[in-house]
Amino acid sequence: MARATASIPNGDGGVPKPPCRKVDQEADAPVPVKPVISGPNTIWWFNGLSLGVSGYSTEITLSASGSGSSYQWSIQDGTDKVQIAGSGQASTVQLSSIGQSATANDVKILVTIGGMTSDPFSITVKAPYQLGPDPSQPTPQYYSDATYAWFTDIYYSVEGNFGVAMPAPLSVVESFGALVPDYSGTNWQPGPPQCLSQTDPGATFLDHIGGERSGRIPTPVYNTNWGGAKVEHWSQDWRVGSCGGGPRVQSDTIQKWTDHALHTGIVSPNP
Amino acid sequence: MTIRIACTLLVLVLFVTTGSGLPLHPIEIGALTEKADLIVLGEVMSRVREGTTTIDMSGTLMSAEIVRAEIAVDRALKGTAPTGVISLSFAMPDRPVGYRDVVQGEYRMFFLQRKDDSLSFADPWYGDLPAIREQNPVSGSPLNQVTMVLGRALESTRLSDVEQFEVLDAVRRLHTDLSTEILRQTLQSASGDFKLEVARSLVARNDLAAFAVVKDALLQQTGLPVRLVLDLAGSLNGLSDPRAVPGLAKLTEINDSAIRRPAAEALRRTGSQSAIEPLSKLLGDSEFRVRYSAVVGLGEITHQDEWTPTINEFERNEERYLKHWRLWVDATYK
Repeated sequence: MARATASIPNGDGGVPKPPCRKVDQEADAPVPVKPVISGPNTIWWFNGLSLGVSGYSTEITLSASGSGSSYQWSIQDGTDKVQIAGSGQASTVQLSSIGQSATANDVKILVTIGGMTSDPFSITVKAPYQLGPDPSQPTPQYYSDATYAWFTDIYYSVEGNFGVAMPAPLSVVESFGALVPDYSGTNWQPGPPQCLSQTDPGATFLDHIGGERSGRIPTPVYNTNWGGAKVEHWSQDWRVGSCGGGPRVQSDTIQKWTDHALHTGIVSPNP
Repeated sequence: MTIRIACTLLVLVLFVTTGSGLPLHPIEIGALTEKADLIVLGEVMSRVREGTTTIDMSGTLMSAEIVRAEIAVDRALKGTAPTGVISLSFAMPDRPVGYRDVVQGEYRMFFLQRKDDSLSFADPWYGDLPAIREQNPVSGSPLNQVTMVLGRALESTRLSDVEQFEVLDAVRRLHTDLSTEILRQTLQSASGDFKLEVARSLVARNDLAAFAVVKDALLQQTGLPVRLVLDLAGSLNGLSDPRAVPGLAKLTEINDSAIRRPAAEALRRTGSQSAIEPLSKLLGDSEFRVRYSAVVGLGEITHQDEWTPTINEFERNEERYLKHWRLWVDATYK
């Protein structure tokens, strides 16, 4: 660029003005840079489980880079889904989930540094939502057992709010309603509800339902035709995230017959 | 030489879970192999009841038999190789909690743990697996040896249907190169329904090698049991390879929502531009979950985040999203 080093016509009567230095001043000053936010784009929501869930971040930290020393973080969209911890006036900010997304990347975070505001940083709040089929065993598996006559294994995959399998192992806990006998005089022994502390890495698990010992009433039988009489049933809820509870992902009824068992009346999702 | 490992169980207290309807994780051979101190191939020579005990199952006391079994060991795949007979002790609760029992005369692969002076199952639910008696030893790491033993069992015609399922389920949930190779080899040699079982196992692992077999079976379905059709269709839930798009598109044309649903979901998961056209054809499907897969798939592939809803949001405002995507498809392709 040519520098103005002599008098120049200025169009107002030829009175020369001092050499203009404005261009030089701008070139030497630090050019303001738009801040950039970095960090994870996903945060998880487990209905506010206070202890967190291993493998799932219900709190995330975002960092800002830019020129300046005064920071101000803000939530442009999604104040019903995430909240900022603290004043939001440092170079990093911690976000925690308080609700789940409605669409992908619907939470927008901004940071302003030295008067310059970043582009929105998008985040999706994912959440466990329902039980889906296990791709490796979509239908129940039925087989004989020397001690209890038979077992029925019903396989599931825990799916998130976008219908995709959860990405890491997690706890699955069942709770039962009152037992209802269907067979007069039955003395089959239902067990208490249990918790699986960790599914497999693909978030799959199975409900392992057995028959009974042969001395019980009615006598359990292994029969692939499944024509046996009903013995008993009870309602069952499935929650995930913690053995102490968590979002409900399915309700159903465990129905036992003399020769098999199934989940009936499945409602999933059932938040 | 006979090695006997003492088994003295006066009171057996196990802190485990139980229930009539018990959540379990599927079998994980890698973890089981890691956990076991001793893995042996052998035959159950005897099974005797040694008494009773009480088991504490998550706070519920439950009576159980104490069982002692003697195993004639062929060889060890992990741990010191005992030859001769070993003793194994375990509890069998009165209630059906799914613990593994043993049957005299069975030849199995046992995953065992030493505790004090006795041996017990490393995992009470997955303590052993079917195996076949043969002379050729396997070599390599314990996991590779276990996998090879399972592979040979899969090739065998000596297993019952239930045993075959046990082995196949163990192999297909093991994600190693060797297990993939074994499944692919088994697919080549298998026939009939078992071939389809192996094929669906590979497809569930996103292995395209078997997709054509599954696809053709679903398109024809002649004489297939309903359960097998559902299992074949369900395996598509594990598929995401973009090369499967043309085949998946054909499957979405089948007049059976049990097949269209996982096929549409697989199309979504491919994330491929080539899936846009078949997904757009599913916007008017009669099945809610198929329409959802179409909408969310189109949103993910074209990165239109605001038109990529959760299931719940789609359920509440379905027409809004369908209208957007119909207009988008019209504007883009017509």
